[in-house]
Amino acid sequence: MTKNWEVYAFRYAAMPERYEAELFIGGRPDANWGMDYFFWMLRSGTEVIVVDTGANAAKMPAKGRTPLISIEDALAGVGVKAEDVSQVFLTHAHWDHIGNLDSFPKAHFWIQQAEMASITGPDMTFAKIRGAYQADEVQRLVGLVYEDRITFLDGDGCFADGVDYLLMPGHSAGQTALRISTTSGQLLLASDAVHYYREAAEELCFLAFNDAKAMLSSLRRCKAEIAGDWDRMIPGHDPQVTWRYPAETHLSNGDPVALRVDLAPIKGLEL
Amino acid sequence: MTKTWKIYGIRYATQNGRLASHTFLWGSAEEELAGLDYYSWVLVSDDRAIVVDTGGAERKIKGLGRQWIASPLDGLKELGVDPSNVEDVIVSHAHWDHVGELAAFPKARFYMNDLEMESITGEDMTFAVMREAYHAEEAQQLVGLAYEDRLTFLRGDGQFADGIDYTLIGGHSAGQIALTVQTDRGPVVLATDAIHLWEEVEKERAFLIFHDLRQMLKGYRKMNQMVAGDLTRLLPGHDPLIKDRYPIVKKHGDEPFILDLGGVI
Repeated sequence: MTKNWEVYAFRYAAMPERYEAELFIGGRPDANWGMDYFFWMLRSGTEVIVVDTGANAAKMPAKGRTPLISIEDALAGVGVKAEDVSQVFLTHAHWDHIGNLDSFPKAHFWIQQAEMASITGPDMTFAKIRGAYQADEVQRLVGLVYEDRITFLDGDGCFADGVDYLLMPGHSAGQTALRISTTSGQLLLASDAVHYYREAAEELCFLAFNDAKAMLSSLRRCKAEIAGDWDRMIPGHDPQVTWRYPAETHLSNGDPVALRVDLAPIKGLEL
Repeated sequence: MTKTWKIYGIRYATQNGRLASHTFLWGSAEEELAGLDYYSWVLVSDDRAIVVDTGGAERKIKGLGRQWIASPLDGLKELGVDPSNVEDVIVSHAHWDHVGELAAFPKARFYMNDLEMESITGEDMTFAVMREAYHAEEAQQLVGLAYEDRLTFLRGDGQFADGIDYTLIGGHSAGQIALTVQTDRGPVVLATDAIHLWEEVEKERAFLIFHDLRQMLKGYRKMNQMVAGDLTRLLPGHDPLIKDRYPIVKKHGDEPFILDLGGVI
């Protein structure tokens, strides 16, 4: 019998203004979608898998993002100590996903081989593709290899009982989604394979990519995974995630931090 | 008319003996060899100096019990080449004894094969035995150079400059390249570590450290073919016989330090 997992999305930062023209090819300059920043956690009993590490707080202001809570505090709010976490799954290596590797000193990390090859290789000779990565963070990943703290994945596979990983290339060479068993059924944690629900629904072309066609093909694969049930999908940056799901912890201003995205949504979806 | 180059080998360290069991696959622990010499190289023409590999860091060479002769950077200066102004450094592969002085070339563009970068930052390095000859901080420095837009990735075979071609040999490392350099006495293949010792080619004896055994062995044959069997035109990366066979340009004390590897034998 497959193990079921609780799935948390932690909203650690937000950009209240993010316009369609900055997000998608052909986007309108006056349509504000906003952008939320998440990292995630799977929990089953006492076993914890952290998914991505968020952006480094010190780097966010210069990039126009507002940090709302630290990674450590977000996890502490649901009873998890970052310093004790033993497993961290990295969906890809963009700056807003691997900014806090050292918050997890005891962890082993997993990432696609294709992502590592891309972020250290000829892809990085293109300034526009290089722009979403940070040299020091990539160097830290290299360091982890030599510390024997990384395992490289190749394509699709089983990560744990009830957790499969799916390579969804395009946004980045090694972008990965997770298919997770929960008490509500199977959930697709798309991460940045799908940034916004509407991106997948309308096959919009996100403006930051490694391979546009692959990215669009991956949108289709994600849609096929959820078989028409949008509650099965958790996009990587959609503010609708923040307001649709029950929150276990909040900021002092009442905004949600820890969302239980494996539970039934409490609000409808606008597509 | 193709440009010709001078090839200088800078012998910056040496080793006083080495067991065959530490050198060749199936080598005997009873067989004593002469030990490896350590080189950095520079290709010089009228208007340009291209460094090939930087040599290993002094503290690492000494830490392994090798005998340090003099800094490869001093060797360059003796040849009238200022490391701080060098514009091009070719990295034949990223083993520690070849990339120990990357920071000594602040103005240089570096050139390395793409498969080498993938190997030193990827799955290959999760195998401890494959990780042995690579060091994390040097792999990180190479990544840093890529992000500063100072690393050009070479792919496969091609022309580097007028009179200098590169060939992907692989084998010893995933991205090991050899250079074919036009000199006054015709083309010379600078194998660097595609061949450590002439004996590897002469007797098809496999060097003990490799990424892909078959690729390395096929590489020996390929390079032999490239020089049409004339091994005086095939320069190994570590052979102690080099100092005895090529003209010495400069000594450091008693030790041959700079050799003219494109010179007349």
